[in-house]
Amino acid sequence: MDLVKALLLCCIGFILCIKVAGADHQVVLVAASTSPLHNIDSLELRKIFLGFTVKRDGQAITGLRNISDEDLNDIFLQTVVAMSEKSYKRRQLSLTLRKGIPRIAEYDNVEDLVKALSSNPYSISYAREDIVNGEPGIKILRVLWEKS
Amino acid sequence: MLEHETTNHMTLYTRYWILSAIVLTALLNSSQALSKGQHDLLLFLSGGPAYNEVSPESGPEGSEFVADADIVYSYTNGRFKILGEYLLSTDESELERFKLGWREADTIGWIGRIHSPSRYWNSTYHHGQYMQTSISRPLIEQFEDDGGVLPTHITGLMLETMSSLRGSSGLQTTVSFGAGPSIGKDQLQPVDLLDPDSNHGAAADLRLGFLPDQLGDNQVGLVMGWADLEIDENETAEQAGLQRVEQYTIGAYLDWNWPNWKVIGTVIYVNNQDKLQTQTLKDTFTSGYIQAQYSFHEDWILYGRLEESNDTEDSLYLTLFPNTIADRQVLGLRFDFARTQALTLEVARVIEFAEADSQDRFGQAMLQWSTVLPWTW
Repeated sequence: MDLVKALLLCCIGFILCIKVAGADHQVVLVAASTSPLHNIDSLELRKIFLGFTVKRDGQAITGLRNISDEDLNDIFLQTVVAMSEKSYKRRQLSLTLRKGIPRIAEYDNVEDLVKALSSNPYSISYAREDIVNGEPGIKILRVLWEKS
Repeated sequence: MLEHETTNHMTLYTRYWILSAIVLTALLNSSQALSKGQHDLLLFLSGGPAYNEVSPESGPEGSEFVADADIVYSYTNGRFKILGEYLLSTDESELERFKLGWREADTIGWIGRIHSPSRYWNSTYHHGQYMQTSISRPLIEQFEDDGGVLPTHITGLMLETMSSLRGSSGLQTTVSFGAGPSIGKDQLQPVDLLDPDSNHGAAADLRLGFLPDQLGDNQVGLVMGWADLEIDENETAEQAGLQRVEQYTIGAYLDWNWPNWKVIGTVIYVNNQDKLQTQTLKDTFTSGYIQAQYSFHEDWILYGRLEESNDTEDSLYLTLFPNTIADRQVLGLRFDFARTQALTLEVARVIEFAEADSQDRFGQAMLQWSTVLPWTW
């Protein structure tokens, strides 16, 4: 009987953990903690990652891609630029070829991404909330996506 | 003759020095550029065999292997920009574009050697073969040294601006003014930045494009151009007493995309004022193309293109360019693989200018592999 109770408690605990983890599964817009940026709407965000110029305090905002996580990448493609990976890359190549706009820089680990954000206060990126929450040098601007 | 050859060798060496300098600068900058500005280096590679069913005299060879490497370098620091494009191929080695730019709000001003904005296809794909679906490009978009009969390179100034209209739509205006090409031995000769000479008249171009969504790829618009084309060692022109040609062009273009479909097309009316020693002759012709492509799978595209030119028979201007393609029907299949590589097969039925004898009609088949580096991206 005690064993059954223990198993039941374990199951409940496991389900609760999943639920909590699920609630934490958010994708957030981030910048360096020293960044003066605080409010970027969805249209501006799309423009930044499509190679258009969006300015704050006379400074152009630079978008940095976080490709450290495949799911995160899919969420970015769906919710921010609304394109397939292939179309998005093609679009960036086209901008470089036509207008000399350099492709968006990509980072496959969070440490390098944090360093890049810190080096330019007018740069932004996105990350999983549970990865960057509490990360020194990073501030969360807003939630981009959350698991419903 | 000896002096001419020496000059050519010097020019060739100069080209390789310049090319080496561009590549070295790009590589050396890569470690420092992020702190000072942003830069990018792309290498478009393509190659494959081409077979022509009939080989007209002095025209396309029966079969040949064509390969090219297009190096694109861009640098942006604040409002300042640099863009360079150098093409090395089995046919040529040329600095295709080199321009310095300054951005002010939604306007960019450029100075240098540019692609004429009134050629929409070229302004979209430039020399990046991987970016265009088909292997060949339509007559009115062909570059001067590849059988083109309209100016495609200008050396001077260009302004690009976007004006917002109702909703998210916008009007894109691109205007250029500078030195255009001259009419050389058997082709147009644009200003060569690495070997400039002064025998070039002025040229001006305008493109007005309406975009229903400024962030999208769809657009429709008008193109206009004017060029004062000087004669430079063209025997046919000298025999006819032709001193220069004043060329006016006006046309419309469309580039529209649906989930699986894309249609791109242009029609251009050309009015040439042929300046002879004692009189001016007027000759006009119209040329256009429409290309439709269908993606029947994520990696497969089937495409077809129709090109047609009218009123070409009486054009004195067109007799200056032998073996120029007038009409063409193209069918092709492109397969994309390994992220940024493509294999394309294209067959075409081609009709050249001049008398309609069988010698001027031939079939063509081409196979091409194309890619863009870096592959790790």
